[in-house]
Amino acid sequence: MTTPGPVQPARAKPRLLVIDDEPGNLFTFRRVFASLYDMTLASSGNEGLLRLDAATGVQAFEVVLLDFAMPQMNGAQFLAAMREKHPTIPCLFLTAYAELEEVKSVSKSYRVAAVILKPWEKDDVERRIEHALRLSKMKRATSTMRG
Amino acid sequence: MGKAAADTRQDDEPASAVVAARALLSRAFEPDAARSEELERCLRALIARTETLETERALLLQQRAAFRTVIASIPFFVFWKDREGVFRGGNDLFAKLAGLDKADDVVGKTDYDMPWTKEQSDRYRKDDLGVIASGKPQLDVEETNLDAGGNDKIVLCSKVPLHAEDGSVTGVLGIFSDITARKAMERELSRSKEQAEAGNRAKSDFLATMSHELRTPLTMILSPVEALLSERRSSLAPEVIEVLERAYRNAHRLKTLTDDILDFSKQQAGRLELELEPIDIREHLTQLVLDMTSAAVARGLELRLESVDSSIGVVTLDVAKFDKILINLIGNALKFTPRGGNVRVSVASDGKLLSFCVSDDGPGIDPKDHERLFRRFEQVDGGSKRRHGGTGLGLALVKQFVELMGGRVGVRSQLGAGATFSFELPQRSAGGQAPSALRDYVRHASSGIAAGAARSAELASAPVDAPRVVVAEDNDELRHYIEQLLGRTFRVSAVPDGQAAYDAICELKPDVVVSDVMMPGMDGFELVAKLKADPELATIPVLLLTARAGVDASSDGLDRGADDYLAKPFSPLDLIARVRAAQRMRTLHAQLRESERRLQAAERLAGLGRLLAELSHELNNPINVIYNGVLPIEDYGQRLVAYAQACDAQLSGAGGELSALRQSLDYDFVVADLPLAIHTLRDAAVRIRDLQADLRSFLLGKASLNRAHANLDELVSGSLELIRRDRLSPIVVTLKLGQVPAFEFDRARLGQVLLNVLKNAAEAAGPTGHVAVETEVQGSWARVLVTDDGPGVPDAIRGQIFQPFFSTKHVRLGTGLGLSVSTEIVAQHGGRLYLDSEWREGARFVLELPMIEGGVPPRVALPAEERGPGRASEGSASSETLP
Repeated sequence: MTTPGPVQPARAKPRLLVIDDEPGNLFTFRRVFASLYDMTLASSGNEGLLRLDAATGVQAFEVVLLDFAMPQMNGAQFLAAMREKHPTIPCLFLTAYAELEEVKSVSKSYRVAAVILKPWEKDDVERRIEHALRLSKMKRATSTMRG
Repeated sequence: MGKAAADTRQDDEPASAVVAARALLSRAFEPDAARSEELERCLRALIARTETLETERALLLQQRAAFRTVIASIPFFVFWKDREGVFRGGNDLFAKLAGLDKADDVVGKTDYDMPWTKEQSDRYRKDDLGVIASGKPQLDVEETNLDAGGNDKIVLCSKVPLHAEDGSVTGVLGIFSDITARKAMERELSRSKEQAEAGNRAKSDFLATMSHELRTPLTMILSPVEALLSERRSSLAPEVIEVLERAYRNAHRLKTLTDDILDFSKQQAGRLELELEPIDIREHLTQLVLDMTSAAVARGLELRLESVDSSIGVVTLDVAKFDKILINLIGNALKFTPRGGNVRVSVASDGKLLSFCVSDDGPGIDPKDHERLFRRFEQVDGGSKRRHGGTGLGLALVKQFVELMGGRVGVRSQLGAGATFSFELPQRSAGGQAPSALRDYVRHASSGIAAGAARSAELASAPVDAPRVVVAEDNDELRHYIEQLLGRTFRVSAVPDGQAAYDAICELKPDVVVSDVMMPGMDGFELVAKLKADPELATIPVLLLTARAGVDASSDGLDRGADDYLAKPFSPLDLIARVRAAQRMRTLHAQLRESERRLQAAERLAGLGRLLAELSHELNNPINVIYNGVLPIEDYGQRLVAYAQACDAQLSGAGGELSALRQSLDYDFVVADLPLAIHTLRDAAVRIRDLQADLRSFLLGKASLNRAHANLDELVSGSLELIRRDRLSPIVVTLKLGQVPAFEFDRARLGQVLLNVLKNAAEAAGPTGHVAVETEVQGSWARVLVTDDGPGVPDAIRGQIFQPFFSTKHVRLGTGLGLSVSTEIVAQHGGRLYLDSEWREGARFVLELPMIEGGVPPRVALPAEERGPGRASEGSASSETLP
């Protein structure tokens, strides 16, 4: 029941990095949220890190959406690597394993903004992304004021 | 004179007369008339004195001769010694013993001159000195003595002191006899006695062993005869019964005798011991007398228990011996009293003693015979007049038993005036209650042909939840007896034949079955076989009562599937114990099976839980793709259709390629169906997501209902649509909706249930089959009936298909949880899911749900025909919002 809203300028859409090893999830996500966000898709943690590094300045990602269970580099390992260079970008887990203790503890130690269980609900995801964005903007604003 | 002089030297001479005579002689020559007169007087006196002495001497000589003769001829050895131990004389026997020729040769010798050893001489001397010093005799001393021939003699010797006139001890007189032969005889005697005693013991042992040995074959004779008489009596000819009864009676008598002998030999060997236990005298006596009544009746006698002192309660007795006493006395009375007579038993108490009397009005016993009565092997009318069998041990045993128990036995009788045998026992109060009226004294069973069906003892009834026992026994009396026996502990249903038993068992599902083997119609073996062939009844333990004792019968019975057997005649305690054991065994088995089942279920559930947890996680991703993917597709679809319709309107009438494409596309149908198809997909995706959520919550340990107002008809048709779409092969479905008003239920969960049930039905019906789905309202209940014309559910598994993890081809559900989870969900709604047992063509599942009262007034539902799947989908979409 998504009604196509007025076409927004591309620049106005928040920039999201979505990392998931399953293409189906990536494309579905992009399909559902295409109208709301400017999304970059990465099918592994490594690719995600490369994309993060590559996008700087105005291109920088505002939110990272991250699968947890992935081959080679899982969500926890990705966060550890990412936080070294990008400590402030808000991250959200989109995972099928929300109940795992490991997910919970990792979320806590890397200040993950939210853990969303797959299958997700569009409204829920949207609300949480908006929340993360607002929080991030407020943080940036306060740090700028100090700076 | 010379001799006389010598004699006077030895003899005690009256000295005064001699002195006077000498004085006269010295003046003899002085002539004097006075003196001659005096002389004459003196001579006269002297002469008189001499005459007296002569007389005395003759007497003495006579005495001495007698003395010598005595000394010489007595069969004793005699000697005398002076204080120094020198022999002053002895008799010929003594001299001969010492190896001397004559008695006088002894004089002047000492013991050390004699042939005996120095040690012996020393001892003799010591003894002599002892007697001399003390002046007291030493009598009957047994000592050894070596004779002149070098033979050892055993002598019995007495030594007495010899006294002088003034009382001083002048020596020792010894008298002894040779007891060597006597001693040898004594030894021989005692050896013979020992041998005799050993022989006696051997005899007793032999008797004990023999009577033991005899009991076994006797029992083997008694049991089958008794069984014949009790079980087959009705089919036996009277003359056969008579013969068998005679055989039984005599075998039984033989057994009683054997028991008597055993008791006797035990008593002989001093092995009788009291085994005290508390009994209720009144009850016990009543029973005992009742049991003997049949014997009395058979003899044309009347036996009665009269006047039992009511103050006598429970006392401590050796019951077996007490019984033996009474049975003996009553048996005697019955034996000796002619037909038409009376035998009375009574008991009284003075608080200290129990007095029992057995009286008869028989011929009586002569008082002079009373004493002999209680001796062993005595029968008063013995000899050729002997009419009655018996060892004669009976009354002797009675006496011994009574005395063993600290009592007394007695008899009062006159010839022709009957007899009263009585005995008294100390009354030991038991201070408690008799443990049970049932004695391990199997009178009923052993008296067999028996006694009073009129058992006055009330039938104690078992608690209402007591284990149930079915008893099959065709003999009425035995059946009543067993019923009464087991009735105290179990709920007993007793039936007279195998078929009735089988029916009762099917109906009651008892905990234990007790069955006779030989019964009219279906016998015990057949019953066992039938029970063991039925899986529902096979676990009920069966205890067979067999008349055939011994290993053969038991293995036969056990081979045929009986769980236990008991040979008749059986002890009541044995029967109760075995029934109890069987019942306990069954309970244990059931518990074991149950815990095993639970364990398996738990293990399987645990394994399944792990599997499901994994699976659930893995499903999240694909479900995510489907569920979230379908949303945009719906959007796309609507927009595409709108666009296509606009295009179609614009291009209306255009021919050529477009027209051909439009035709091959079946444009009108696709445009109409695409939104519905997508909608249906979305509905399915939603349901899958919901199921996934349920599964997750189930795995997380809680699955509370999420009730909301919803329409059951819509859910049913929607679920059916899902099934229809899901299947590759078509199914023929008849849907009949009963306009069930909306009520509160958990839509997702009930959707899961319906999917399960419908899927089952579709699966069972197969591609050519037919499924009928119906909804209806019955009172405040909503019902969904799902019927298929498939092969149906076999009776054997009907009860099991709702159990967790049960899976068959008929119920082809992936996890095996389908119907179990469904049942659970329906139960959570307060409803019921079941298989219609009446339905025999195919299968009919019934889902019953209570419609919550006081709910929102039912919406006016559209007629079923007008309601399409799309509407159902709409309904589902509206309740889809999640927290």
